[in-house]
Amino acid sequence: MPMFLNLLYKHSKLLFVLVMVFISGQLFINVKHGLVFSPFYHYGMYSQVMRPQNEYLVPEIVVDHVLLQGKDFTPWTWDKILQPVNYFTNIPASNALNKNEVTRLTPAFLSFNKTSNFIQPCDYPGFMDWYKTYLTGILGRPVKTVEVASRKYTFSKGKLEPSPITFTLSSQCQ
Amino acid sequence: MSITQQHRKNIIALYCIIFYTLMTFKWWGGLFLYQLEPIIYQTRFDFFTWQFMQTGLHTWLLQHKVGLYVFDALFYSMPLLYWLLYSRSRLWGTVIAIIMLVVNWVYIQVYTLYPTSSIESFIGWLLFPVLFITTSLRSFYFMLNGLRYFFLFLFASAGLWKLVQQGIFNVDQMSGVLLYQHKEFLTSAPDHWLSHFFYWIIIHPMVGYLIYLLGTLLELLFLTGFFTRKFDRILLYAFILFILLDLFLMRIYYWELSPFMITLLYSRYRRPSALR
Repeated sequence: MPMFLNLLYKHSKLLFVLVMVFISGQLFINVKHGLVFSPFYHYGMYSQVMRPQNEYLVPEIVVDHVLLQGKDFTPWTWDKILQPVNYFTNIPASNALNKNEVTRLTPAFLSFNKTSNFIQPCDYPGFMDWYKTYLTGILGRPVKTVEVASRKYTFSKGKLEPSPITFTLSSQCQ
Repeated sequence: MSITQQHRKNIIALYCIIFYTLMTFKWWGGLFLYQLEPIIYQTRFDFFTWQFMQTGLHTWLLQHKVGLYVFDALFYSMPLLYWLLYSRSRLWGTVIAIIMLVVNWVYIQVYTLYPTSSIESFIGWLLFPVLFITTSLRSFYFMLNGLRYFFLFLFASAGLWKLVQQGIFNVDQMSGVLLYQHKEFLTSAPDHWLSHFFYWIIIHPMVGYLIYLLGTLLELLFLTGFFTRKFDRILLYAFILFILLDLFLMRIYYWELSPFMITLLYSRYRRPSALR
């Protein structure tokens, strides 16, 4: 690596500076470990300590009174089904990020103060209408009804056991 | 042997083959923007993205579906356009590469704000246009090797983070990861053989830990690339193994990183002399 940089320096000062800026940016973001700055990211890949939890909140998607099952879909299609639900429930957190961090950390001369670019409403009926059409496309058949809720599961005796406690999607985004 | 113009053409062709193979797969999987027709986005903890979001492009696209078609058309036409023009005019190749850099940046910023994948996995498409901007073969060589070092860093840092953040010292790590990653799968299809397999690893934490440890060692193996290129072929196989195991065990698809394989394939070629 040092030899590579040495040869690069001899070849082109401009390229050398660009590469050094990139290396410095990447190392800074890694050492600081918090806010990132594209294209400098952390590549932790599950490096934080994770232990089995006692409880998990799991979204359940019921189409025409039948629960969608992960086994019936490829990993990427299963992600396609789950991701919009996760994004919808995460709208309050996404909005809060703007309120707490974006406005605080963005210098005044960079801020256009257009909150509409950061804040989304919890439009539950609008989302469900869209999601129904979206699932119709994925499942390849007409969808009449869609119900989405999150159920609390407890991890005991090596299994995730369902509890009767559920949260409707609309209650998770307010 | 030094890298030649023919190698450069082969690298561009290989990049296009990888890009368009993935494009076909994504189209089949309904992962184009126009197929997703998103209506929501999520702000991520990225200062650059915040400034990008101030343009309002991501909200404009939610209202103007035709824009999604235009974005897909631009993003997916760039490598082909570059490949067609580069062999005819070096200057036009560079111009297209600069446009490709901008298009890729805008497309990937927008795409990953919607319910798709995390932006980290798209880093290859963000950085490779820089390689194509170069005009001289020597600059091309240096950028190719710069990308190789970045690829090595990506994996090595993933291994090092597991030491720093202490995931590697937690025997229950893989049980915790599998429960978190597959909770929707496990609860929706508890009797499927894959669920039985995941549960078996979860209740045998030492087996899970061994898998996690092997994964970490596989990532740390990429550190060797900083000192020698002798093992680049092994690193290439390690990367392919990593992709396949992640797909099977984690149901995560890292194939967007596959253009980086090119950097390991062509690392044995030396830099060309200054005159070429």
